[in-house]
Amino acid sequence: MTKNYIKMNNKIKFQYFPYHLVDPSPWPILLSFSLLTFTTGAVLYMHGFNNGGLVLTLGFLLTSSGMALWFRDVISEATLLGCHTREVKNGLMLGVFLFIVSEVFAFLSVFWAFFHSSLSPAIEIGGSWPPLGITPLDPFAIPLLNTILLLSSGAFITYGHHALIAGNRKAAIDGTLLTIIFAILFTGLQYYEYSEAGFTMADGVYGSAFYASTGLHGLHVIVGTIFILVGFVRIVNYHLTKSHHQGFEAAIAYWHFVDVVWLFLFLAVYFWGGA
Amino acid sequence: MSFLARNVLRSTLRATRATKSRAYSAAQGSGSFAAEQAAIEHHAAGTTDLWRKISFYGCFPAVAVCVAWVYNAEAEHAAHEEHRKAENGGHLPEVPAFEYMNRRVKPFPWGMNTLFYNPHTNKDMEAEA
Amino acid sequence: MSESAETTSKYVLQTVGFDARFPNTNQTRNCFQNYTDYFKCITAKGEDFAPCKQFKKAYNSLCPNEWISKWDDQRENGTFPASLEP
Repeated sequence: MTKNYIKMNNKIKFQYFPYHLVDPSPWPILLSFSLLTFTTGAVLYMHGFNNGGLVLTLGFLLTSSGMALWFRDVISEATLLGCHTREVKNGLMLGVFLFIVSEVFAFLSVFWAFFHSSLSPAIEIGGSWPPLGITPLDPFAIPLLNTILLLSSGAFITYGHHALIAGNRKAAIDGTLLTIIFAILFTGLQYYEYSEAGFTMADGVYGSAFYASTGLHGLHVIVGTIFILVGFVRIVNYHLTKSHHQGFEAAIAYWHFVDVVWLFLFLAVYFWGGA
Repeated sequence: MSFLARNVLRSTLRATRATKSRAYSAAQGSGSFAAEQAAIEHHAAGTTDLWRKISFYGCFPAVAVCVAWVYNAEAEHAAHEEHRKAENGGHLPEVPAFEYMNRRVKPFPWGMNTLFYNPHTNKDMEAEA
Repeated sequence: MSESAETTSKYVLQTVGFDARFPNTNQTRNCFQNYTDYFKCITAKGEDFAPCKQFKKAYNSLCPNEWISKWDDQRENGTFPASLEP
């Protein structure tokens, strides 16, 4: 009996294929309900329902803690259990790129809204862009600095990434840390610009298009910063090796995407749309 | 005879399988995983140095120059605002109440002002209501 | 028959002709353009300047009356969304 069990156990512990057959997990269904709570809470809150803010907070906490628990499992599978073979890594990276493509289309719709409203301004805003009463931000002040900050952070993350591959731990940590510092500087400067701007999100379609596009990008910067921060912590904790750091590479791909979106925002919304 | 044929067949099959899965094997020698990895690391050491130079000798000076430029630009803006205020008796000229400005069909969940409300640059909608 | 011909000759019914700047069915911008052009014209040349009248005719025939009265109110309050300086 025992002998048989050991034999069977050894057999199921050896696999003849490179794929990762995932174990049963509670997180997909839990996160589905968390996201439902999150979005429902957002709707209730924004429409002024009783305790809408409470449902929103609960949804946010459930979603973020559910994500942390799920990612903890993925990190153990990758770092400790060796489930992420080359084949699995290819699949994961394909998933990351498909996700980024979907993000491109999300931003495309916001840019569409911006160009729809600005290329042929409605008579309600006097047929001009920017409309009377709006003092647009000077693109060659803080937005220019933000552009340089994001481009530099792209160079720093490449430095950190190549150092990680070369096995240069110190440089990998330096490069990633510099990226995170510049990312936080960017977010801080955007906050400053938002509070110094003479127009708000409720100032006609100019305000809506401006804050919807730059705000969506700002949220992505915050998410990208957390993404890189996770990579940083994992480098410091010796999770990532020279040849095995798929999560970090996903963060880098995401960061470059956020960077490119900013270049388009700077050209279209700040430079062309503010002239 | 048939035994010999079977053995030859088997060893050829094994050989082809081995070439196919060479990418996964950790055997030493050119084309092996270890050799590939060593080549990648060697290449990465060079590119790390290149990107270190770009970061420290390219990006940092660029950021420093840009900070100086932006500092001047912002100071100019502030001076211009002060000038406009002085011309207008201590406060900025009132923006006409265009229909599309400061739209509030109903309050935000947290009140009448936006989350980035700044009394110096935005109209206080809390006082309007 | 001859009687009705007489009445029509007294009241000339006229609408605006085709304007190549506004080739689409939607004439909203045509109406707005003529409204602003009229007030720019009379600011520059005075209310009695005859050529300005064509803009007034055009916007009166293109614009809904509600829009005209709303814009008139906005001009009075200084909240008209476009500049009327020539």
